[in-house]
Amino acid sequence: MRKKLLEMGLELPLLPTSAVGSFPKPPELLVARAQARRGEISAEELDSLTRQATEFWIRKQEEIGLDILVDGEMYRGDMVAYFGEHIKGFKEGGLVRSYGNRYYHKPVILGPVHWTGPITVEWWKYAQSLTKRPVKGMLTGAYTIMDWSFNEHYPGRKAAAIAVARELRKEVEALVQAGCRIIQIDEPALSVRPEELPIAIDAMRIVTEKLPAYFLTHVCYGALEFIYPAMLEMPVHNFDLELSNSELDLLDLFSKDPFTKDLSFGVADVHTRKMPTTDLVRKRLKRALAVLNPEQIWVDPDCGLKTRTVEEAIEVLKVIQGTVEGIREDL
Amino acid sequence: MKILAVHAGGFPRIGDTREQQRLRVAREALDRGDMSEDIFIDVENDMVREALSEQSKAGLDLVSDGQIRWQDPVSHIMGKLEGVRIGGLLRYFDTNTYFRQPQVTGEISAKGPLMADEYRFARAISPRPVIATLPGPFTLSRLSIPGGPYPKCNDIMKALIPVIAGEVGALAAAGAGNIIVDESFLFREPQSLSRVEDSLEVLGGRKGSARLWLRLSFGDYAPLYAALQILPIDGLILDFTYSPRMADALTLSGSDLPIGLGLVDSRNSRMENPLKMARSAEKMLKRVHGGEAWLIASNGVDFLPRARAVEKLVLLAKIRDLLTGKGKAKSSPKKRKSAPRARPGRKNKKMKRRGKR
Repeated sequence: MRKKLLEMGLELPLLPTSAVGSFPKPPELLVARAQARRGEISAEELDSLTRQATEFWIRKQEEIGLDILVDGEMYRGDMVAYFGEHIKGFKEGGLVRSYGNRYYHKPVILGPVHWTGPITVEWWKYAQSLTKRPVKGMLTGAYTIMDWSFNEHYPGRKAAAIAVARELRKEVEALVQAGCRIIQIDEPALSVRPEELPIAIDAMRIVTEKLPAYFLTHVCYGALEFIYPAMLEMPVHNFDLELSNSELDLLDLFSKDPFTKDLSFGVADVHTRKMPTTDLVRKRLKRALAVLNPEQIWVDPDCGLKTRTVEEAIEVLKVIQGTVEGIREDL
Repeated sequence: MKILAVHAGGFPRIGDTREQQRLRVAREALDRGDMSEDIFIDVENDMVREALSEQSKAGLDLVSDGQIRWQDPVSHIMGKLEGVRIGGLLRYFDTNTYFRQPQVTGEISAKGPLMADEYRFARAISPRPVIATLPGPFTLSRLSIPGGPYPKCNDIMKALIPVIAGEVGALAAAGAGNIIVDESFLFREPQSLSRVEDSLEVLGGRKGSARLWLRLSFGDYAPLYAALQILPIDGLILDFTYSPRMADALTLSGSDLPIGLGLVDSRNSRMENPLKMARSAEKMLKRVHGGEAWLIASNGVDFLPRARAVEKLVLLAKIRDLLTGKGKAKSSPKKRKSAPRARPGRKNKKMKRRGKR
């Protein structure tokens, strides 16, 4: 897959480092978002603070030395609800539990879905304008949007996923048109119903087919053993997988059936306050290198870092970057 | 035929109003150390009371404590056991909710009661009889990481069977008339049905005068339907929302067990038409010979926003009323079809069933 990247003019070092997508929002932005919801500050004021926070994270990632950057999703709340807010046909639903004491507004599909204009493109353009390093375009996949929404309009799950995919493709086309060459389309719901893997693959094909970009998909907290190796049929170049939360148990699967795509290897569990050590990250990467070709591997945390504090998120990225630089010297 | 509108499992812990968000606020305060454990438990108790009251007002015959105290359906039980450490997040079946995955590290044993105290509290304050739901040893073992003296999930299951059986006994002693064991992992591993069967034998041995129900959700159980009918249980609750084959299986083969018809979708906010639901249920109920049927949601209604969850519970009561003639309309006789003939071989299966109930 490195060839594909080279063709697009992207020369990356071995074990390129990145982040999955979200970073914690600084406290002043959290306050501003709440104020904006209550109509206490203007959209322009919120926009200005969101831009400042985005710039903070771009500078921070450059400083740490990451190779492929993310915009940090300062403009988003929930990864599905955000798209529900911008695609016609969705409505914000009531609160439901995510885990423990965390709840979110689950969107509802109430009518035919329709892309009415770019959703993330301006944010990507702004983030990319701040750095010479590539910034990933970040979207949530059609299957996950369908699965994490209530569907009160389409006759079934497949019809809803395909309809969302057709609209999402327009967003991807707009990103490509804007110059984005690395696009991550998150599908954390990929493994929830193994029998529906073909629907997720069809939906991803609709979104990515024949578009000149390097596509990743992020999948986490699921039972991949039920869809592996069939999931390798997904029309993407790179799977970004959470591996550390589950003690790298997926590597056993890859030993039996070779992993044929690039792999963004999650080396740090993000849902714990315990900081990963250099030693731990090195051990995890060594295990990955025993099963995979170094040219296949990208390195990042397990998942988005938005549930950590700003300081914790920076520390996790520093540990990852420092460890990778040490290992690169040995390769 | 006794037809009951029933809720078992979770009830939303949060709603749109500030008042309905008091449990979340209290939990945050507890976690920050700004609230004492005693005050937090008062808030929890109050939410349990509210969940019971909402179900009763919805017109249900049997209700649940709403699993208000549960952080998730797995760690609530596993976290109370010796030899288990609660670890990272994992998605709970195909729901967009997550549980903390247990890591087994040592010999498994119960440190104390798992649910019986919670049950006793709910029973004492509930206007309606309360059902207890326990995750089963098979499902708990599959959702845990083996370790310590248990190198495989089956080893964990063996260790969990006496623990869960003990809790069945404790719940029965606390006055639970109906105890549900949820083994929803079975659709992912149907070849383990005989293990589940063996475990139900042990659990059934501790149930006393309570009835032991098996609940299966989150998948299509039609291929297993005939085999489920001969399990050593007193009732079977099935999720009919995943596949139309499930209704076909019941209509074709009938049921000698009391059955829970999980027709109302607890995973999608779309409201079902009560008349249509009543007609589907009526067709199936003709084939139920177990003397009792429950109209129930496909699983806990805590996957729904609170207002819609309550509407779905009201819907269950409405379907019951339509079926029992208390509602305004009964399904048109023209819509009724005669039940298909029983599948050949049915008699043999009946004979094989154990006389445990």
